[in-house]
Amino acid sequence: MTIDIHLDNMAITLVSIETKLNSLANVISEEKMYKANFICEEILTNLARHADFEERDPHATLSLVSSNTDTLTLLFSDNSKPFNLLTFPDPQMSLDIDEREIGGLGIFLTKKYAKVLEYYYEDGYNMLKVIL
Amino acid sequence: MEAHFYEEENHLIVVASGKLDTIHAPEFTQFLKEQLSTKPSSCLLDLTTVSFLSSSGLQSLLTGAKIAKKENFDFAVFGMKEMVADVFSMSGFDQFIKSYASKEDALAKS
Repeated sequence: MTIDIHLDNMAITLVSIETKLNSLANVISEEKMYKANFICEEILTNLARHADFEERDPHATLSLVSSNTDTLTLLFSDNSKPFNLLTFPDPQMSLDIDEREIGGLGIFLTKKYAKVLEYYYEDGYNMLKVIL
Repeated sequence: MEAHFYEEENHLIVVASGKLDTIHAPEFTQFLKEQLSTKPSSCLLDLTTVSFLSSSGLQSLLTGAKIAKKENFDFAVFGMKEMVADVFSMSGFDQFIKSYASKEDALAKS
């Protein structure tokens, strides 16, 4: 199933995604469901806050594919300027509390939670494939 | 997302519930800052009924911990569910925020 992402209304988008994910509850474990919701929020929040769509009308989608073996694939696409989050530096975890910032943590945990994480740029679209 | 607070054994206990996500965490951060502005001797954050924690929710916790350090009072969390605790520890927050399994545990050790 494919969901149109409304970057200007994250509340509706995230509820829509959660509803779609919940419909897969019979084949996807609770832990995997949490990780999927987590990754969707982090990727889409990052996109809404930081993506540069230059002169284009923003267009983003999320496709969900599940199997009956507790495997879930998320495929994010967007037409913003090319951005490969796999190359985004990890936050410095050893910093003292005064120096700790939240930036980068969402991407860091997405990398940790994904079994497979692939990025490619195709026909003007960033494509991010996450397998859980 | 709902939040309230009460005092018990000289601890300010701030209770969060529901989702600490990008939609709800900013409101909770504001609520927490208001409670911490009273400069308690200790704050325990009850996360027992928090079902979801994202990096936005971690921002709430980091804000609380930074205020506590600056104002020199104790700040800890308790009652995290399994995946909430996983996000907390994977982010390295267990290095600077104490966490306890339950309120009883937190009160006994804080």
